[in-house]
Order: sequence, then C-alpha cells, then structure tokens
Amino acid sequence: MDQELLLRVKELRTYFYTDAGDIKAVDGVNLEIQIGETLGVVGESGSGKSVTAMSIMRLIPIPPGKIVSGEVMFNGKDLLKASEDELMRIRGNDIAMIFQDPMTSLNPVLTVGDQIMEAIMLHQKAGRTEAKKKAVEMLKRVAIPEAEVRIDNYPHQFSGGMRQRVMIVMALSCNPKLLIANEPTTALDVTIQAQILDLMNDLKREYGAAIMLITHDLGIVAELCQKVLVMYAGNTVEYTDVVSLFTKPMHPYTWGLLGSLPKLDVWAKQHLEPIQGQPPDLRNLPQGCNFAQRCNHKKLICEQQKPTWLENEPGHFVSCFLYEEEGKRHD
Amino acid sequence: MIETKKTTETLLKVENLKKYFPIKKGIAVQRYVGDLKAVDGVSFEIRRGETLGLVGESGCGKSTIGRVILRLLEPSKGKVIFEGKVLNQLSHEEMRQMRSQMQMIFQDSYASLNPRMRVGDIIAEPILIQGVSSRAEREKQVCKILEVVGLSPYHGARYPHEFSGGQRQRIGIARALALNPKLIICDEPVSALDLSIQAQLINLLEDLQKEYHLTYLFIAHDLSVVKHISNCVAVMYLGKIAELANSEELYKNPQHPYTIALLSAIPVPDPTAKKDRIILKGDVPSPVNPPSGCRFHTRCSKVQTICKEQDPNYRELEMIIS
Ligand SMILES: Nc1ncnc2c1ncn2[C@@H]1O[C@H](COP(=O)(O)OP(=O)(O)OP(=O)(O)O)[C@@H](O)[C@H]1O
Ligand SMILES: Nc1ncnc2c1ncn2[C@@H]1O[C@H](COP(=O)(O)OP(=O)(O)OP(=O)(O)O)[C@@H](O)[C@H]1O
Ligand code: SF4
Ligand code: SF4
Ligand SMILES: [Mg+2]
Ligand SMILES: [Mg+2]
Repeated sequence: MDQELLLRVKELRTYFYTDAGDIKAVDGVNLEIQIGETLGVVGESGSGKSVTAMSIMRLIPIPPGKIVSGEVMFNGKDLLKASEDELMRIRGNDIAMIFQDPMTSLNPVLTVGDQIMEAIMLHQKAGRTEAKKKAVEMLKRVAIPEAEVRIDNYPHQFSGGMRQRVMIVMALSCNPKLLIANEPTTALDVTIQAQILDLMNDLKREYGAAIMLITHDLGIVAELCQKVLVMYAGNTVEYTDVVSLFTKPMHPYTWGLLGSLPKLDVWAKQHLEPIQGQPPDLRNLPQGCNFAQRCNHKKLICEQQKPTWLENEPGHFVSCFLYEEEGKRHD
Repeated sequence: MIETKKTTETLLKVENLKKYFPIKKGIAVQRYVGDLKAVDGVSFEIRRGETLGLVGESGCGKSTIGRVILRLLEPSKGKVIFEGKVLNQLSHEEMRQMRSQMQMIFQDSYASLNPRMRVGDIIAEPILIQGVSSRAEREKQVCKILEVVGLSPYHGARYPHEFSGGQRQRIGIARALALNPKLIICDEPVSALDLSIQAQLINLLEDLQKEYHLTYLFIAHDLSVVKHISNCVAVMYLGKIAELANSEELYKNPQHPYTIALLSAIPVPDPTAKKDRIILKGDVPSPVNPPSGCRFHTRCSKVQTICKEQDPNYRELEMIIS
C-alpha cells in the first residue's frame, strides 16, 4: 500500500524525577502511524500509554517530568524540537486529544455547550449561531437525547458516559489530522460505543485522519484498528497488523494478554487467568528484559541484557530474545 | 425461579425507587419546566453474599441508583431497605454509622480522590475513623490493601496525579475495601483497566466476597465481566428495569428485545469474525419525555401497536411458562 507516514516515534524516553526516585515511565517507545490508519495501543495499566500520548503532544508537566530523548516526527517535523508557538498551532488543529479523565478535563463552571462551541468557533471559523447549530448536531450524533436542551447543562448534570461523549465531540470538531483517543469509550455501553466508533471512522473517511486509539478492549482493537502496538513497563514490546496480532502473537506478554480475556461463551464459573506477578518498579528497572520476572519462557540472557526492537517478519516488530537470532536490526 | 428458594436473607432491597431532577430554565429567574426522570420506579433485592449486576445504556440511571442507595442523593419516591432498616428514615447520625457498612467505588476515580492527600493517607483515613489509633498498625493495613489491589507499598507515599488512570481506579477500590463494608456499590470498577488487571481484580472481588460474605451491586456496561461476577443481572433502559434474571439464564436465553440487542453488539476480539450486530435504530429517547407505553418502543424491532399505548407489566416470566 502506498500510504504516507504521518507520525513516527523513535526511542522516546520520558522520566519523572520525584523525591521517591526517578520514574522511567516511558523508556524506549517506537511506533508509526500512516495517514488514514488507526493504530491501537494496548498494554498493562501503568505501562506508559498515557505518558506516551502526552509526550507526543508535549503536555508532560516539567518538572517533575522530562522528555529525555527520542524523536517525534509529525508530518516531517520533529515535535520535540518545535517551539511553544508552533506547538500551540499544532495542538487542537492538527493533533487533537481525547483525555482519559473526562471530568477533570471539562470546565465545571461552563456549560457543555459553551465548551463545545468554543472549540468549533476556534477551529472551524464559525460564528456563534452556526457553532451552536453544529454543536447540537454533533451531540445528536453521539446519541445525547434532546441535545437542544441538554446543551445548556453543566458537566455535573451529565452521566459519566455523557461527559465522555462531550470530550469526543470537542476533539472531533477540530477536524484533526491525528486524533489521539485515550480510552475514549471505557464508560460507554456497547450500543453507544458502536455509534462512536462509526463516527470516528467517518472522520477517517471524510478527512483522511489517522487515529491513535489507546484502549484495553481487544474487541475494539479487532474491529477498528489496522495496526496494534503492545506496551509493557515503558517499552513497546510488539507492533504488527491486527490480524497477525491475534493469529500469531509473538511476545510472551501478548500471549498472556490474549489469554486473560473473559470469554462470553465459556460457561463454567472458573477463575479468570491473569498474568501472574507484578510489573517492575519503574524506579528500579531490571538489568535485563522488563518482563523477565513474569515470563514463562525466559532464557539465561533475558536477565542480563535488554532485548532489541527488531523487525522479525516484514511489518512485525518484537522485542524479545526468543526471536533475536533470526531477526534483523531495525533502524 | 420456583425452585430457587431464598436460602439467605436479603441484605439490600430497593422498592419502587424514583429520582427526578427538576429542570429549570431562564437566566435571571429560574423557572421550573419539568422533570428529568433519571430513575423511574426501580425495584430489586440482593441477598447477603451475592452480586447483582446492573447494566444498561449510558445515561439510563445506573450511577444515580448507586448514589440514592448511599443517600448521597435523596430519592423522589420509594424506599431503600438495608438490613431491614429503611434508610430514608434514618437520622443523619444513624446514617453516618450506616455509611461505613456501605461503600462505593466511584466511576470517576480521579475526581473522587483528594488531590492534596497522599494515597497512603487516603486509604488510612477510613481505618482511622474505624478507631485503629496505632499508626504502625494503620500503615501495616494500608500496605496490605495496596498489595491486594496490585499496587506496592511505596505507592502510598505518592499523590493521585502521579498515577495512571487504571492505578487510580485501584486506589478507589483500596479505599472502599479499607472499611470492611458489608455492601460495596461498584460503579464501573474495572472498565478503565486492562484485561489482566481486570481479571486480577474480579478474582479479588470474588475471593473477598467468599471470605467476608460481601455483597455487591456491580454497575458496568461490559457484559462479559458482569456475567462472570454476578448471580443475577438487571438490564436497565431509560430509568426502568427491562429484564432481571439469573445471569446464566439472561445470557443463554435473553427475553427482552433490548437485552438481545445489547448482547449482539459486544465487540468480538477476533478481527476475522463476521459481525451481525443489531444496531439500535432511532434516537435515544429523553428521560424528560420518555416514550408512551413501553419506553423501548421507538427502537424495538419487535414493536406492536399495543406497545405504544401500554406499559408492559414487569413480571416473572419463568413462573408463567412453567
Ligand atoms: N506526574 C507523574 N509523576 C510521577 N509518576 C507518574 C506521573 N504520571 C505518570 N506517572 C507514572 O508513569 C507510569 C505510566 O503511567 P501512564 O499514565 O502512562 O500509564 P497508562 O499505560 O496510561 O496506564 P492506564 O492504562 O492505567 O491509564 C505509571 O507508573 C505512573 O505511576
Ligand atoms: N445532578 C444532576 N442534575 C441533573 N441531571 C442529572 C444529575 N445527575 C444525573 N443526571 C441525569 O440523569 C440521567 C442518569 O444519569 P446517571 O449518571 O445515573 O447515568 P448512568 O446510567 O450512570 O450513565 P453512564 O453509564 O453514562 O455513567 C442522565 O440523563 C443524567 O444527565
Ligand atoms: S526477552 Fe526473555 S524474558 Fe523477555 S519476554 Fe522474551 S523470553 Fe521473556
Ligand atoms: S416495544 Fe413492545 S415488544 Fe418491544 S420491548 Fe417494548 S413491549 Fe416488548
Ligand atoms: Mg492511561
Ligand atoms: Mg454512571
């Protein structure tokens, strides 16, 4: 496919320097997104998904945080080297983000409508009346009943899932080239979820946007994403197309992840099978592979050295010693 | 249904519960123009040591039910009976004592944690209120609870903003557990978590239930998780319960057209799978002016003329068939 590269992140590292020690929240992240593509990002809670997203947007609080090294090429420009002015233009216009905590990112003293209209007036150069019409229309598209009336509500008068939908509307009304959606549908039931995912697909079709979708729902990944990135303890451990991920996953963590799906068709009330053990302390990462403590396949070398990020098969990247002999170096 | 004898006592009973939020219009003078019927006549009971799952569309009133049970909101009508006591009749002091026995894990975990307190202190606070005055003993308990929810003791020294979304959710769970409550209202407790940790926490909630005979009202939209943990499941639609059944029965043999649509829409973790979901047509109706007759009739694929006129009776189906 002759697609065009929109975003490439290389060897990104973001640390937090706290009293309790240096937290290596993101410690070697690599990813690519083509125009018009949806990349799913999955990985254990605390593995650095949100910090990666915030680093791409350069929204990491400094101090205590710092982007230590790496490259974030967006449309041919390294965002890590961009000036604050350039970033202001890019955020909201070219890259929009749906944050993980809808309540904390909505302003409690402004009505839902005012907040959406502000985004529309800013990014679509619309007047107030037109912005209001568009805001109502968008709220309808995300299944808010009686949108004409509810638009005058304050955030606390909306349910959890309704607030999440307001966030989605605000991000979409910027017509971004890249939408970073951080767990956008966690609070939504399946029927509304389906509508939202359709809406995001429309955005892709109409404007050729790309989406980076952070989610823990592998069902959504399977339905919506073309590529998938798996993260563990600040590292990207696997990256491939969606079919390969489900049919021939390579990394032992991915195996565990796919194994802990609660299945609807299994009847017995058996215990679910989580991956045993805890993720490592990010202040004190092991010398070898970050997953070694919990890995059933570890070899001697795994505790001594870090595995490298390799393209094991065309388009299928993995970071694990099980594949290191056969693979070729990626640069 | 006839065979299932009520072997254990009922811990929580909710009778014809209603919660209306008044709608006001106007900038200078606020004029009352109607009610938003968030919860509109809901009844159910949960036996001690069991779990009732509560599922339904976003905005159908699930969190409001949780808040009314805890009396964080006063009901407009109806009763909440906990251990035989009608909660709405208790004085503030009696209610305060009662609250330690009923905890809620909030949907919006971040907003429910005090940003200026260290996580260790957030969890220690309820333990202190319970009368554990020794600091060392409190710290020991805090460490134990942190480990139970998959965090480490050193996390206790950090502030909420230093945690990831899923970690904060677990802090909320830790705080609820700290009080040894009898009833926990879990409002989307695991929806922000990856599957492995979901599995850990669901197992944990189940183990605690066995050990301490805990009772859960488990609010979620993820039907597979609800099915796993619940004895019974109530499916809500627009402020009312559409179907309530034993969880095995509900998934194997759903009766209500809304339940059937819900089950069909679950995304399948298989990129090659064929998808034949029932996409619900039509706008989501408003809780201010709910449709006449059956509330689902504007979107139901099996709608008949009578559905538009009469509200179907809520009845025990198995009883009638058998
Ligand atoms: N401001 C901060 N100060 C210190 N540590 C932080 C800060 N923000 C995040 N962290 C730590 O960085 C790690 C990665 O966090 P991040 O929010 O990226 O996780 P995540 O993958 O998004 O997880 P989740 O799925 O739970 O949202 C976590 O261990 C978290 O505690
Ligand atoms: N304080 C309030 N004032 C006015 N309306 C409210 C208030 N709280 C909730 N509502 C409304 O009541 C209805 C039910 O809300 P509730 O939070 O119970 O939904 P929910 O089922 O928990 O949804 P979700 O799955 O999205 O969290 C919604 O229409 C909501 O907007
Ligand atoms: S590098 Fe070794 S320890 Fe790490 S995942 Fe691969 S096999 Fe397991
Ligand atoms: S519209 Fe009629 S058939 Fe459909 S759920 Fe309601 S009562 Fe049943
Ligand atoms: Mg996150
Ligand atoms: Mg809710």
